[in-house]
Amino acid sequence: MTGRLPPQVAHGDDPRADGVWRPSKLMHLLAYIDPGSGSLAIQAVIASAMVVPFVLRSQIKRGVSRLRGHSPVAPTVTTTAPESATPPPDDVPLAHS
Amino acid sequence: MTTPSARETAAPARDPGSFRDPSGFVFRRDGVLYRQVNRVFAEDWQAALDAGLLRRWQESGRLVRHDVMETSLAADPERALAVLRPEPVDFVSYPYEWTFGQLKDAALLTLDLQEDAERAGFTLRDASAYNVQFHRGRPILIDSLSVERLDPAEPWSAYRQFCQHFVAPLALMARRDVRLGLMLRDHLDGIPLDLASTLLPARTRLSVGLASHVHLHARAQRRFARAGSPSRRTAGMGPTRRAALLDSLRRTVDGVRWSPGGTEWADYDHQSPYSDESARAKEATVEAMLRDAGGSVAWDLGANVGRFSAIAAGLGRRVMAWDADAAASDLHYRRLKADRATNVLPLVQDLVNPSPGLGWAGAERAAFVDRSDADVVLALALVHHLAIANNVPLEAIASLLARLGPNAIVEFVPKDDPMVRRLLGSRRDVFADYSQDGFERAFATRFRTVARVPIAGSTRVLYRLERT
Repeated sequence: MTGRLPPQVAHGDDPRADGVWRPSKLMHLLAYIDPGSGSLAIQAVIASAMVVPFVLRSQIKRGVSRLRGHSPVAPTVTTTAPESATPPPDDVPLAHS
Repeated sequence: MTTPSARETAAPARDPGSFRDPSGFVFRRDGVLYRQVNRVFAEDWQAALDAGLLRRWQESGRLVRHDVMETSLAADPERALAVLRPEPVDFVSYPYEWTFGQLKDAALLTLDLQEDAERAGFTLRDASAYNVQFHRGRPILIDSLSVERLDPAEPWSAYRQFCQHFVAPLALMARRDVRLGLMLRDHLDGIPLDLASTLLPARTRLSVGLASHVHLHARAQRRFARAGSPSRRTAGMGPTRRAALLDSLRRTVDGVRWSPGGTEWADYDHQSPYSDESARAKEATVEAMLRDAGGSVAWDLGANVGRFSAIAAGLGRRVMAWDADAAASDLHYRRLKADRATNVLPLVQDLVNPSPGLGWAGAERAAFVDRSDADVVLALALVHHLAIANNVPLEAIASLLARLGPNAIVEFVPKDDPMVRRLLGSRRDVFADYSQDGFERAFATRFRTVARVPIAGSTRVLYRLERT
């Protein structure tokens, strides 16, 4: 399979160019579930409200790690998925191999 | 790669539950499951492959593995970009059959994948609980087409779906009543947030996560439904805000906790009517009957916390452990998870009113009875509950068991047993046919009796039956 990726959003498609959120062309093409206008709006509000405690927590974690002599942790949350119990067999071709 | 060409195979049958996503769909050809990737999805598909995202998820056991097949196998060749053959999952179950712990683990998996996708410049296009299945004891994403490239300025388009499929039902189960998980049967696209907001106790408004993702979210939906336009001025998301949103969702999901126990069935092990001698005799007989029945899949109906499921699993059977009691099933799931058991799947199911075919044309989600792949069905200490507590005729019970599998191991509990006496204690005995003779007559309409073994130290009898 081949194919180059276009820029994710062309400048002319900036969904917030006039300060009003509109779905980009990319989103129109591939989104098949209705995100809900109220849900789109409220998640930006919730995310904005959560930024300060999130950044503070991340910095505290980093500070604690530094004090304990560990390398700083990334500000993103950690995954909880357990390690794979069964590594992939060598003879099973994967989509991208 | 040697595969049969499309000309040599039967006509493809599209999965009746796979029609909403334009990027591809699932179909069967000659009984083999395939997923077609459509050309319209080419750029995102290629980008996800180039980034190694799918491979990483497959290697960590979080995405179902698949082989890439010849496109000649496509069900819709004009639109086909690629054809995948996914590894079949153990069993297709639905969120309304999951225990609280299973739904929570599926939610955490979805958040894990979304966080991981965002770090790689991608996002989940949907957050449907139906994209997750339980395979070898763990939740796993089964939709390989769930990712698309991330536009950092865009909000997460699956946020509403995540809240409806996971946050709202988990909150209702934990904070109101665990049986409200069954609402997912009526609401296949998740529980409407205005309904969840109405049903949740007022004190949940004091929880930052539930106040934000359910109550405030429901209010915003109402407001914008009236406004009818997405032209709302919003701040752009950006990576920090996106991470903060996911962190908040994770804290919310982590924060809804529910402890199984306190129900009659979750505590059944402690109130067992069997003496130690009877319990040991029953276990030994069930094990011998399971060996004799053979096969690779056992369905344990009324499995409770999985005492006999464990025996079947110990014999190498893959076990579906069904129980109507959400607490008992969740306790079972937690034990299996702690033991890292991989071949038993506990699920919640009321046999008196089992999962029907649901969704479009009643075919999107298959009925309980149509999903059976059992070689042997266990119905231990179950028949008296169906027959006496629920007035189901013995012939109808025999008919259901015969429909579910070719072999059955059934326990008959007579009227002089303390448990049956208890069931009859508060009602008139209108069950003249409920006797050992009546049981044998009813089951003879569907089964041949291979073995009949009384349980030592009790008046109960175990039957090993073979469908006629």
